[in-house]
Amino acid sequence: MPLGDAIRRARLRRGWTQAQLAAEIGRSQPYVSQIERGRGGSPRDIERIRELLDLEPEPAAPERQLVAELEWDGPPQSVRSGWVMKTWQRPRPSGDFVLFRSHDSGDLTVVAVDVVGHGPRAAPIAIYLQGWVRGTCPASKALRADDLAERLHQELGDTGLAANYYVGVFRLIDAKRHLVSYEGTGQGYPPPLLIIAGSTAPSAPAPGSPASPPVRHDSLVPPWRLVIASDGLLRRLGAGHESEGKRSLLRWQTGTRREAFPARFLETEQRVTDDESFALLSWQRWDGTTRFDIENATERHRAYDLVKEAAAELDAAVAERIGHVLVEAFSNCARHAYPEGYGSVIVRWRREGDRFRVEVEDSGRGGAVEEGSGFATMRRWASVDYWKSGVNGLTVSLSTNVEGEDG
Amino acid sequence: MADEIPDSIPYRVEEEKDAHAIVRFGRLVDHPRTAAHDEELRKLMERTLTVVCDFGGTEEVTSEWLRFLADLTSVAEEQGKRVTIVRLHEDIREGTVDALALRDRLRFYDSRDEALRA
Repeated sequence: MPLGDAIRRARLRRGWTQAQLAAEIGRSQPYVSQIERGRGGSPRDIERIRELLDLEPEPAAPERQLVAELEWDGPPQSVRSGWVMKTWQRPRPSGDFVLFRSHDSGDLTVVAVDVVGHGPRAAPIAIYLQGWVRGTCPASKALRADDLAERLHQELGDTGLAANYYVGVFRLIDAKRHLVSYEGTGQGYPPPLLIIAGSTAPSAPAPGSPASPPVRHDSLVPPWRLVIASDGLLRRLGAGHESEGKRSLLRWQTGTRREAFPARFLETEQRVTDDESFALLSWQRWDGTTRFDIENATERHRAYDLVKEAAAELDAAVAERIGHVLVEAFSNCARHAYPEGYGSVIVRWRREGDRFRVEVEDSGRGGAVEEGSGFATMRRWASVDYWKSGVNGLTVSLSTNVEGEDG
Repeated sequence: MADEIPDSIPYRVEEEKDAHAIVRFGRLVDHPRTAAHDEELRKLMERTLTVVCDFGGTEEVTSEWLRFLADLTSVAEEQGKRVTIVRLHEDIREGTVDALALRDRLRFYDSRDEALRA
């Protein structure tokens, strides 16, 4: 029996109205109605309802439980799938490639290989290995990262060539690509994760020499970034000079000039197109996050105050602009995502150098289009850096800086 | 000093006389606009000559409220009446109102008295 039906039956057995149950959990009646129709409810509220109505605990579902824990401790980690390129296109023979394998389960496997040696010699091996990875890593099932790496290692040994490689498996759930767990392993690409394809990293063993064991890293401590960079990206980052671009990435990755680089890096993220051969997976810790029910004006205004207060620590004018943006974003949620008048909204924010970023996420009706006066008003006050509309809801990420040049 | 307007409502009708009505808006006017809101304000406009919408304590107004007030202003003027916007924060005028191209459709005043005298 669906959970919503079970809750309704248990409630009626007790002779409670939806309003009474809502009062018990400190929520509104429409919110309870929504849960009973199987359309939402926070894990904490549902757990509370289970206790109140003496319902059996939810059967073990490891992934869901993990998400609940993440929500309890902070924001879920989101992998921005829009930034992941499915193909790695090279204009000339090359010994490096990156493959992304999306699995039926929603998981994502990333395999990056840089065969040691110059292009004409390494390219046939790289092409062979791409086929091998595709065959070994079916869409129907994600292998364990160390298992896949071990097989790749053996395959490389058979070719007589050496390579730097990285295998990462991102276990994701739901349409919003929430990251549940991560495991990665590699050789020549030490953590923290940085991959520069097209490079000849010195740690790769010489062809024919005994291979060193892969380095395993099975957790991502935010903030983290997985960078897979092509020569073209490096040239752009280095203003036409590949080696300077690589140095910039390394400086950023190792922490030097940390303040100066990310802004430029973020600019680069905005220019990703299908024919560019680089990929980036990113998640950074948010400075704060809050969730509110759209129908509860007090909660909504509290969220507004929280974010604006955080923005004011950066700059008063930024806070003003963020305030204008927030009311429009919340209004859009009410009008478009939740026309029935109830539903929850998550707001996250963080400071990025002299910028302030805020993300507003609803779980309502997806399929929104980027038009209308709400967006026009938001654009007046901030940059709409990305918006992502899916079957379940819309996420809009906006930012503005101290100079206010976005308006 | 008038009571604070609770978070749960966008505005309160503070005064209604034959000649005018004063509607004071809350701090954050981000509430979903309902048919009941529309009807109340339209009827207020029909019963009086001037509706003064006082945004003196308002930090934010969403675009849908401003668009509605612009439409109400047009309807009022067709009937020889007025809907006025009082003490709306300059930031909102320069940003949101202009982004929506509503500046020419709304009637701005600096105070209630000024709006009533005009």
